[in-house]
Amino acid sequence: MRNWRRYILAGVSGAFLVCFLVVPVLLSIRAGFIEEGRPTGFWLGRVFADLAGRESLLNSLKVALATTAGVFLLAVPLAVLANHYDFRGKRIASAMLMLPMILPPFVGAMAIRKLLALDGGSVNLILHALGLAKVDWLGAGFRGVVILEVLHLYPIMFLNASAALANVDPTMLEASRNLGASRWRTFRRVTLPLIRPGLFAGGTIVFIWSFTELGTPLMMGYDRVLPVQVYNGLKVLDTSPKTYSMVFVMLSASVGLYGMGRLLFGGAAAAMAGRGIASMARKARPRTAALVWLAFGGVTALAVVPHVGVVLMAVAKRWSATILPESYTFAHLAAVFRQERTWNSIVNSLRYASLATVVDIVLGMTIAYVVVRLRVRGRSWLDSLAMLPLAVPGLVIASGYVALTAAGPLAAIGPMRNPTLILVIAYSVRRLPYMVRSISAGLQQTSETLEEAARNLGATPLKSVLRITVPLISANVLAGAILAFSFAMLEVSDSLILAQTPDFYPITKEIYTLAGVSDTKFLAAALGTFGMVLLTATLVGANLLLGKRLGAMFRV
Amino acid sequence: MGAMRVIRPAAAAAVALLVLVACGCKKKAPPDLVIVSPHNKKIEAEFEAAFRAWHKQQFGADVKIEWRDIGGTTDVTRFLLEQYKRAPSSGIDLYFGGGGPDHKFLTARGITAPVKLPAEIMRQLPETITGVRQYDPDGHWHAAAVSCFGIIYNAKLMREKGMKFPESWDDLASPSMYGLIAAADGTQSGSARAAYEMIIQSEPNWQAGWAKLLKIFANCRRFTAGASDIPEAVANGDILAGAAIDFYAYDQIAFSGDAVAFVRVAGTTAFTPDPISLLKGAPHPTAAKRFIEFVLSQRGQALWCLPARAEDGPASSPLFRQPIRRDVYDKYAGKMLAPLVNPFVYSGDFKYDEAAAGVRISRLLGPLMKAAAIDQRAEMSKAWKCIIDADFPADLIDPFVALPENLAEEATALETAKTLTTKTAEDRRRTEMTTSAWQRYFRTKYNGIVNRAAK
Repeated sequence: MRNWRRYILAGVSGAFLVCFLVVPVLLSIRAGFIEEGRPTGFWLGRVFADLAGRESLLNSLKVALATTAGVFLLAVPLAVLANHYDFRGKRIASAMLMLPMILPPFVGAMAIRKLLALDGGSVNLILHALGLAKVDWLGAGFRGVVILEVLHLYPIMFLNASAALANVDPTMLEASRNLGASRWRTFRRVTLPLIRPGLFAGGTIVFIWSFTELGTPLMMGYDRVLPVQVYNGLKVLDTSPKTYSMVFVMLSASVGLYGMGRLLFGGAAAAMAGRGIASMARKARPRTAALVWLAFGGVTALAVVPHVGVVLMAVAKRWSATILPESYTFAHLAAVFRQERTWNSIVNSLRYASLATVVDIVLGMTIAYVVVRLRVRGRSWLDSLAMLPLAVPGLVIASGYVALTAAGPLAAIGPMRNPTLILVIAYSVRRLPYMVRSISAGLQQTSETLEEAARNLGATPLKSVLRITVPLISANVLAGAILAFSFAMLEVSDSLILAQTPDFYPITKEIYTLAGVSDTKFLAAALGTFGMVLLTATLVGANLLLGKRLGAMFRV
Repeated sequence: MGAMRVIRPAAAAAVALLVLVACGCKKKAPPDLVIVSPHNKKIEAEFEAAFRAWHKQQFGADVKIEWRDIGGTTDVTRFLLEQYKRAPSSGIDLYFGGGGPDHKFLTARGITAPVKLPAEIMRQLPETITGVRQYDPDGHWHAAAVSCFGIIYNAKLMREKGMKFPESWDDLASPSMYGLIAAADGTQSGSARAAYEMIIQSEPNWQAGWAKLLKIFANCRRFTAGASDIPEAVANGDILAGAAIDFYAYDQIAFSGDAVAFVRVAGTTAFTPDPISLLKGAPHPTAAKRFIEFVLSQRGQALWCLPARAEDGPASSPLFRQPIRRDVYDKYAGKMLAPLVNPFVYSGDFKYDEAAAGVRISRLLGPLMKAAAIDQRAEMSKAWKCIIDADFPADLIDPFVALPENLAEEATALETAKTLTTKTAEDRRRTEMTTSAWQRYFRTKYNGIVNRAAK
């Protein structure tokens, strides 16, 4: 590709990120570094002088390390099993593993608080009935936070690892086995190096996510972690400049850790020139199939606890400190269909999330291509920039958007008028990292020589990308798109701040509004249940529509 | 070929979505009144319907109301503050609900506008209840309802455990409640700060008030973001009791039934305002003023306190709020929702010191609670456990309830509170250094108690 063209590609995507990521973030953390017009480092120093600030930084690192390790241990073996064996119901088992991705965050938290409450929670009441001691689940601190986060985040790793395994050329494994290597040695010396980009992609997302995760520690009352400190600091009327410096520390730590990870684990991977068509998956013997099912089913059963709670709340009439609701009703579920506002929010969410996913696909492919394939100066900066949204707390970027659109040329798309455009931009920026990581992993695994061959045969650069590379990485595009779409549907911070009139509420804001009042809490759960059904339907629909490609991802 | 198979449907989907968006952008008639409110949707719906009917009858025209929902009270106040930094108007007419401190805060910053109400209304509004002002002397804000604090508790679980139901703030400070209660984070919740001030004032002096408050915080198994999280946690049975605003508690009880109960603390109940304000640069001042007058009319006030579908009452949901107008309590005596009381009779002779409370609530209680409790929940809880296990020896309990030197006496504490401003860079730095010193003071103290108890 000619020089100026690649710089235009890099420039346009970079400019978008500068406009809608860097500028809003700067606008909202400026207060930590500029005081009365003069730059100052005082507040940055105070972050480390603050006992709670210092301990929070360390605790956040520990949570992130433990969560990432846990996710690796849980998700990679499952992905390998799914890749290695064919068994009855494999498609269902794999799909069920994705269940944590369809849970709207508030209702999930509401359900967990209900099920795991100390004296009146269903789980402890069951333990008590069985004559066992009660467990202080919600007060379990560090351990509790890590366990819940692992159960929430493992699908990211499972998706990425599965996509990476699907890209491995089976002939390489055959070659290794033919040369006398054991199965374990083949996995260690051939498979693992080949899927490293996928593992790196999943690992970094999980690491940064858990480093900056707010909801879980907040719910568990484990408040000595950076995101909770920042959140609490932002929620007060008169936010201290220290809070903005704390955001900066969190951002720099995330970017620094990501950079370090890339140096250590993210180096160029062996790209594969071709892919075998035949799947390596073997038919599992009944006993093996049963064991595989046990593994998949066990993980799913743990991960699905909050969903069960949400559904129970959706059909509960009265439920306070008993194992199951005292009485049941379908009124809440019916109300979701009857009320115009709840319907409206569902349509809005679908619209925002799908538009954001389209933006993400285009932007993600461009950035990943620039970073992986084009020799453009400063491309590692573009790569880090694209990962930055993972580290920016939703509240910070949302208030940055409010500042950005408060006056000037962008006021027309601000939340005071029609927030559709700014919400779509916000969602797509926030979910861009999944796309970029996923597609980058695909590109790293696919050899450039294939494109070169197309070009030698007379194809233009664009044509060679669209007709050779894009089809080869479609599993990765799809994996990224699924994550981007699902998490956009469930986005909270931007939705709360940027959608201010009921006509434009997405489903999360509607749920939040309903959950705020005790007598519409169960209606919120009903809407949450409906949201789960809807996301499931979308994912299944994607599966049907693009059956073979999704199949390629899971190798079914 | 493969690429086109992906791209064509994708392009088609993109176009279809753009059409959808375009449909979503259809023009709507502009509103006649814009209200920002942290109130729940029930309150919004009841007042909207009743106001529109009243307006039609009085002025022969309908009013289209647009409700802006930005979150809780602090979120709304913050949002308004940000808007007025950039423009002389926020495009919003009224701020309905939220606590007295927030409306006073905005008034002090020139964000509200004065309203002159008819004499008929002003005659019925009390200037103060239990020492607390209920409207601004210049008419910038008026209480639309009042609320009070009490204790919400899970009666079912406490009965099963054979525990006595709480009646006073002392019961929350009792060691039998160790790890069984929660409190709202005072840095985030204005109403929680008001509740803590009430607890302080329920004791004869400042030191005793804080001693009680510190013991309550030490009993907490968590600090929640909002005051409304406490009733939910009680109903779930994660905690047994906690301080709560009356209407949150009534809402929860109406929802969860008699497993949950609420008690006003006898003798120390102050009724604080829940105001409505006209905002500066309001685009629809006439409609806004009419709305305020409606809310403060007998008809509007009746919506707060009557059962649903009663004559003059709300159409579909009971709102469980205490009206502000005197005559409403007489007119509907015996017809109001059961738990509501007449604050003009009930509050007795408790006098709340509002002058001191104002400064302390707005500047001191939040940062002090953060330094003494929130930033050291684990350490504080551990120290308190040591004290309980050692059966309250003086050499452990005295340091536990001690305060830093610049807060030790009520008068010095008030002076210190006045210095905790954030206007200039210098103010902010001084405040930061003061509160940071408290943080270290309490940490050293709690760790010291644990060490001494171990010896």
